[in-house]
Amino acid sequence: MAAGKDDPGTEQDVSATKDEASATKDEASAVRRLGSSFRSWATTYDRESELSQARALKSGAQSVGRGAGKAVGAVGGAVGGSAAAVGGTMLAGAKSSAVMLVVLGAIAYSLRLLQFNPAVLLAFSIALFFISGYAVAAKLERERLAVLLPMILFLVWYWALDATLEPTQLVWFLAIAAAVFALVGLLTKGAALPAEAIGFLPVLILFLDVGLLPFMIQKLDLTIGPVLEVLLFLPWWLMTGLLLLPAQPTESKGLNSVLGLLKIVSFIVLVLALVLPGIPDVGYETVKSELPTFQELQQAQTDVLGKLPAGEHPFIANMMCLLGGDFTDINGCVLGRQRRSQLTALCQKKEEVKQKVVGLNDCIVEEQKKITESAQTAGAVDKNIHPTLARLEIPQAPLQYAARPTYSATLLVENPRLEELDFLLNCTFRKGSEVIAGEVSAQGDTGREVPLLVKTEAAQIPLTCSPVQDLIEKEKTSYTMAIQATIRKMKTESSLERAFLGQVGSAEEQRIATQELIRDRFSSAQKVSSKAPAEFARINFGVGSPEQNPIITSTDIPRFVASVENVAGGKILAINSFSYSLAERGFTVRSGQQDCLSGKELVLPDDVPHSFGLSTCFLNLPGDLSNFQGKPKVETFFATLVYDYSITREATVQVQVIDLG
Amino acid sequence: MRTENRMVRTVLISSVLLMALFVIGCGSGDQQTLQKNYKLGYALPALVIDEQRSPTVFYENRPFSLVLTLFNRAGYPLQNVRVTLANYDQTFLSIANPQQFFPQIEENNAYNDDNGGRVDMVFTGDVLDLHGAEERREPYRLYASYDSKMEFAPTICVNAARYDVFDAGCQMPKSKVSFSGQGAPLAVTSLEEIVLSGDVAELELRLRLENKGNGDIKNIRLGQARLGNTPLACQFKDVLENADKSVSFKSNRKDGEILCTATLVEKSSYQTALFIEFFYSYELSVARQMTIKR
Repeated sequence: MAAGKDDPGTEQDVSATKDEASATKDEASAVRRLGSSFRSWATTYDRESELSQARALKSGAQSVGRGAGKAVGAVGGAVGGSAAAVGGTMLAGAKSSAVMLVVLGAIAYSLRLLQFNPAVLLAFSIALFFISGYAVAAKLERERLAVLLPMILFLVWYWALDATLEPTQLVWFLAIAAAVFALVGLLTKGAALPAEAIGFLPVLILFLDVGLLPFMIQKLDLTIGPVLEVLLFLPWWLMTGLLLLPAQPTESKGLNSVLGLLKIVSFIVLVLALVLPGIPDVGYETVKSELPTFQELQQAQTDVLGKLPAGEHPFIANMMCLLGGDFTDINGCVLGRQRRSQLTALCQKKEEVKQKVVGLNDCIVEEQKKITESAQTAGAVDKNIHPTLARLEIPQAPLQYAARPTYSATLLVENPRLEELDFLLNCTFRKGSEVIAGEVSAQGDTGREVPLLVKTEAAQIPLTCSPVQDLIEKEKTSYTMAIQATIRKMKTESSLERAFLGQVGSAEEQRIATQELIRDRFSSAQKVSSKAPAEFARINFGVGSPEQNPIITSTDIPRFVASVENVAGGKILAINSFSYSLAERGFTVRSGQQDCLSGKELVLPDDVPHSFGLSTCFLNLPGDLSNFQGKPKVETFFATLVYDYSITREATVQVQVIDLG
Repeated sequence: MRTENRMVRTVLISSVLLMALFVIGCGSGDQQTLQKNYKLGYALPALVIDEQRSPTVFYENRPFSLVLTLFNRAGYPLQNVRVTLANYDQTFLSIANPQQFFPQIEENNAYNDDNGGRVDMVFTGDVLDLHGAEERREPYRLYASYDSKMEFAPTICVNAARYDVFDAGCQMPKSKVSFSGQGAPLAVTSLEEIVLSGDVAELELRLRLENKGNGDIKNIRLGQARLGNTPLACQFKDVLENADKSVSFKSNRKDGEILCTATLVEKSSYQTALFIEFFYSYELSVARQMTIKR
């Protein structure tokens, strides 16, 4: 009798007699059938009032005496039956909506992973928003309708008022909202307040689901670490459904335990999601645009998703590692699994694997070897150098009826170092597997590829994109319009500081000199790493023994490691050249890659990883950095990366061609 | 007769007046200066940057200069003084004379001000290209190294008697006696006298030596060590001696102990002068930072 477990009083009544119990069962199942109907849910309060009156009647009757007990027992049984039925309604409501939330949440999450049409995903999210509201309300005993209050007020503010933060409007809105909340609270003598408060949960989940977290990460430019990576794309609705499931949702103890465990995990993850990003105030330019629109949120999520390397989803990797019992090194396990899944994805795309000339495992082993041979190193952001920034903005476009609709966009460029930025613009329209080339117009030029030179410190370049061929859809059809801006021969310089001890006397003197250098110059991990402005891509490099050690003695054989890291959401298309100042400073290659210090053009594979190794070797120190007396010498070395980088912005556009002829 | 007496009286009175005049005239000098002992306390040398003539912000591709003074507040002259500007990034700063040498800096004495002897110096150079950065914080360190000495010269009471009996001489201290510095960063801070009785009484002096400055003592060498006219045999305890009989102090070591012994011939107590001379090398450093802007 799962129904009774949620209501001990009811359970007592239900177990009064077998007949009563069977009546209860019948009635409960009858109501359970209606459990998913909103109407029956909304009227539960009235039934509950009747129930409480009957309970009072029953308890009064029980006190009359044993003689009357049988009759009263019958009344009590009937009332108990009703109570169980109501409990059943509540439970059924809660359970069915929670189960629905779990199932639909899983489907929505799968669609998101498959990068399904954002409009469909948004519709899904809003539907789940209301289902979760229903599920949350079903958990309450009284005043459930009040749950809708914050949800509706939020939607009004977000859509009708366009998420305004303009003080006057906001004050008015908050005053009205507070009045409504207070009025409902007063009318229900405070009974609606819990329901009003709990109504904020669906609001929170809606935001988390449509991408508030990735948006914040983009706006705040937080580095996506492994923990945040997991939190980014979690099945929020599924987890909410799990959290809202009753204590004993099934008859099976084992399944209940698993669901209980998942509930705990969901709860912890939800708390982590709220605590970890530590969202501070974001310095937006205008009051109006302070809050992201759903389109922005979804775009942000798509962008961040694009940044993550292909392969096993971090959440799945984490779960597999946890289930595998590898508790000692979860991080290592996750990284290992992801690396392997990335390699698998890479190999599966290879022609020789497809044609079974090379086995998948052999390919993975070979690729693994390549990665281990080309070691990588970490880098940091140089806050003293203003970064070059470029981004595309596509405003929301209404449904268009022309065969060749034109959509506008803006390329925003910040060029604080006043470099000559050579852009190449193009666009496409995609529907399923069909791709239609687009024509870009910018600054008077029109073509499939439009070059654009930016030399000014900041630029806002309006552009348009339209398909090169007529669209023929008579029905309303959605296309994904992708505008791509490629910066050609972008130059990013990284710097690395190292100290050389030379022939500093005794071991004790070396120790003191090292201590002072670390205290003065290398007190943090960031100061030890190479630094570059926070823009598109950079070379990370290190020299030393090991390469992270900033102090080099005259007897050291320093190791040199360099790698390329894509630090923005775009794609590295080509590496035109790279170079290091070490060679001209007198460093020579001792062993390893002989062309380690010389720059060259690099041919990149189609699937360029997020970061990849460039050079690894052991070096000989120049004479003046090893054979000198006196105090240590400190020098900075530079690495220059010249590369092509593309940024892409996608938007869903709708077309319905009307033949005016 | 009366005239003779009057003359004698006049001469006597004149003599007394003249002497009184001399006494008064000689006694009106700077008593404080004469009484100040510069070989007391923990006098520390100081490297001071002239803030007015050495700004903390410099500009890319412009010359720069740092003006500073090394004050010797110690009661002993400093020899072989080297002041070095180091630990700066040579990619962004080019310094023409990063090390400057001065053979000697006068000790603190009555003829200089409270800061003691001084030497002024200027480091000049160029700020180089910032490689696109808006600004850069450039840490550097100023080192001053020198050789100097310290003398420990108290008057102590020595009593070779086997038992503590009153002999109208002096009272030998029964426990450690503390000292508050000898006018240098290196200081003897306590002295313990122990008489080892035997056929021939032997005096053991246990001296605690401490570095009271912020710098590092690179090494210490013992010079003369005498108890009155008797030479003392001294050695550092728990420290390995170098070939030149000096000892090297590790930077984290701030103190050490020295044992000195002498044979006592005199059986009764007496006061005598103890004199121990220490030669040491010292290095102090100051970490600074400058801002380089475009």
